[in-house]
Amino acid sequence: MRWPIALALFRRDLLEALRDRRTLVLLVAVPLLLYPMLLVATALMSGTLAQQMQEKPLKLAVWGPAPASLLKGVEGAERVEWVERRESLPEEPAREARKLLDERKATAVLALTPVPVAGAGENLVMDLYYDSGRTESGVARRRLDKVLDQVKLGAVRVRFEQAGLSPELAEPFQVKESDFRSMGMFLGVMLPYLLLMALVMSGFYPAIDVTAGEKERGTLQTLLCAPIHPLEVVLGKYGVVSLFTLGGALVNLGGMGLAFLALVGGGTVGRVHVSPGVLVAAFGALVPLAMLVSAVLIAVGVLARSFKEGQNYLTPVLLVVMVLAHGAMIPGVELTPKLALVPILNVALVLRELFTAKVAAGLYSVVFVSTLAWAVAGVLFAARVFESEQVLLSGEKPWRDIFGRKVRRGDHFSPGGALLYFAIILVGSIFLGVLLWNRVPLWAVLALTQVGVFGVPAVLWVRRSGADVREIFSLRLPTLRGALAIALLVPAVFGVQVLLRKSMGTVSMPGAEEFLRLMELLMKQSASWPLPLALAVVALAPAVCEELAFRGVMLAGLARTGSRTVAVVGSALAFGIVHVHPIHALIAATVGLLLGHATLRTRSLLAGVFLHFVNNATAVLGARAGAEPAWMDSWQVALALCVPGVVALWLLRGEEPTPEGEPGGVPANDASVSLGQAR
Amino acid sequence: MIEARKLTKHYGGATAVREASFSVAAGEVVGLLGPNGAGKTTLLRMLAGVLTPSEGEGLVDGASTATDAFRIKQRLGFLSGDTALSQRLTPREVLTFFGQLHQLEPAHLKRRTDELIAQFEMGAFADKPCGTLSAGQKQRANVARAFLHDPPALILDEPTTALDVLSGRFLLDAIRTARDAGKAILFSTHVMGEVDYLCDRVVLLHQGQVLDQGPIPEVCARAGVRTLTEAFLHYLPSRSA
Repeated sequence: MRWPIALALFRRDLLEALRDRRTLVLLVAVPLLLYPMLLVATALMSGTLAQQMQEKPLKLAVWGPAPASLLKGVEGAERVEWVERRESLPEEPAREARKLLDERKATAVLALTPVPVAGAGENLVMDLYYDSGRTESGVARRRLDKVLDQVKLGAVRVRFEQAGLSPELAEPFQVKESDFRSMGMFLGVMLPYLLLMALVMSGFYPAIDVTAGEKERGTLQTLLCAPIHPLEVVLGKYGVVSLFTLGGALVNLGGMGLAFLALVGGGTVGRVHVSPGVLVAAFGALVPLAMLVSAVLIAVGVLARSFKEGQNYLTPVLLVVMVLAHGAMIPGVELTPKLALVPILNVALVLRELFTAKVAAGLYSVVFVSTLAWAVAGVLFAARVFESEQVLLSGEKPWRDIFGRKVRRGDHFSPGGALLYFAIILVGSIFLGVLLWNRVPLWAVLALTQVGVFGVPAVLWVRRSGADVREIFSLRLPTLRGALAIALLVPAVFGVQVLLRKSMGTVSMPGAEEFLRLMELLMKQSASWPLPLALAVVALAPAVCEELAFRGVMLAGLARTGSRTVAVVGSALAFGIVHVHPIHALIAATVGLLLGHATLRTRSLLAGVFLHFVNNATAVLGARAGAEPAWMDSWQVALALCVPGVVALWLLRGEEPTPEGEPGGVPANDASVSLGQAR
Repeated sequence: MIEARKLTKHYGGATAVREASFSVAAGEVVGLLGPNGAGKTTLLRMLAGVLTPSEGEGLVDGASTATDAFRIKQRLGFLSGDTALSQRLTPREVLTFFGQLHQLEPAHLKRRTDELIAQFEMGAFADKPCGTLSAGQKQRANVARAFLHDPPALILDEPTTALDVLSGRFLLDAIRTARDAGKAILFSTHVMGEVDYLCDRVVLLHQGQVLDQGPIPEVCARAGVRTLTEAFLHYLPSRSA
């Protein structure tokens, strides 16, 4: 994988796409006009229609013995038109009423039947016939309700007076209504739908253009004659389509922001609130979705042999997005941890919540991370499709070529293999967590997740690859110098975490309080377990299982890029992302940098395992000891704790690191793998 | 320089190319002749490292399709009727882009681009989008693209298709110049006149199999005919039956 080549391919595809004016119009002009128009149209339509409905006369038929007070009350109401007045009921009132309504002669029919009340004259049973399928009939019913309520109240007041009671007693409370829902809710459910569709449409034509279009024009064939890897081709194209989908999302959000902030005071319409903060959060949720959509668009697009065929192939993708995005418009569908795992629908729900209410940082993170996991899986699938010569050369039975290919030994320890492994454990950890949550005790959730998602799969992954388990997992003792460095890193790991926590307090990071509350809850719960159990599930299991996964499989795979920096940073980022909550992810990723660096330099996984265990075990013991000592919460102490870390890093510089490109004894990939040989 | 060793390609149950073997030496032009559907394009794609052989191997300048198709692409210039140019890019941009893919130094790439634009007389249209160019102009740009990294071997699959006489002759002369510069050239065509004008030897391919190969007079003699066209027709009807 050579980044300059991928960049050259990206630039070429981008230049071509930008020279297609249709794409630019669709990407920029439409969103900038769409939202102001939508907002104005919504305001006009909701106002005008509601007014028109209110102004239409209530065409009323009244059958049966109506008391004078009722007739007077109805006649006194505005815009009431008598259609029919009968003193007696017809034989089949329901059938007759339906006929009148169907023939549009009446918008409501009232049938009155007197019912004697012992010693107190008679009451009236009123059958109200209307057609809720017709807006004007529904409006008539609501207007009639109000009139009848007034008439009924008048009758009760008379009866109270006759009984010697104060008429005021007839109305113990008054309801004053203020409806903010109609326009706000309409926008609240429409905006996410429009945004998702705009995002997909922004990438739709560029994706066809750089895949099927390129095949049809014969330029893909030309490209394949050049010394390039399929992964470089797919990354270049993926970059362009992602740029368009993300650009589409950004321009749409910009258009929406401009429309709301310029046309509406404070960016609030009914229950919908659009502020810069909301727009940033919405864009954050759309980033992984754009990555996922782009991967699917190019993977499916390249199966087609012509632009027209590409449109046919991608239309079902568009329909799937439409259906899932539509889910957020269904009343009663709320964002739950389970729905947070469903791609597209989860983002649509998050957007709806963002525009109409507040989203919990934890749930937002689950949506972000799960969509990211789907996106990684999508990118890997796209890469696999692009490795198929049957697909690229428009051959027959491309599916057999895509799914029938065996993974070569050693592929697990390629950067792509590391990403695939990460996607699997990410999806696994989220799904298992949601599945087990509240069904088994917390300690069991932790233990099962650690062993079932991180530990066992890591070992199986290495064994299946045929690589040397001892080498991949760096199962060796560190040198004395390395061991000293590891010991000095212990306070530094704490120091870094205190620094991060204090920094978060200074800049008031969103979700920080929620994170601290969750951690406090976990530690309180762990304090109620027997100490050996708490240490086993909170300290030992993560120290072993997560280290096997991140400083073992991930580090080894990413080191195949030939860069130790990429390996350490990549595995640390993966370690952070799997912790889901943004604050937890930030802390974990930072600590992961230290653990990865120490493991790579000492060539011993024990470095990571030891530091991880000491960190978590201290948290467990601290929770049992009660509140954290006040002196821990100071910048000076945090910085002092970091000082030994500087010495540790100096000591580690003297260690002989794992050779670049050869972690764990797996020889580096030969860069010269052809399209055919990549099979 | 270019060698096919029992190259075979199966697609499901069908065999597109069966055990094709021949070679092209440096400073030689070999014509690959065969009717439509003979397997010429599949064979050339395998030799270019674009398609993986089911059996056998191809060699280009010592690199094997079995183990080193990537290096083949570095050492080979490939041109076929299917290898088109980006419609929205100019010939100069196309050359720059492919130079980057071949990892040519920027200064060298610029020099080489200017040199090819001059050599193929593309100055008048080098900065116009390829989509606006004539077939002949596009093919000149495409040949320049194949020559860009100065490869020791060239595979040209029906490069004169759809060209007028002048453009065709211009291209054939460029191929002769490349041969004189010591490049090994495998040249596929339907036009027998081009073969007579250009090729030192020919390989006759039909239904995926090599029927005969050698210098044109020898092939004609073995078929008992006087011209290459007659030799071609001599082999094909009996094999098609």
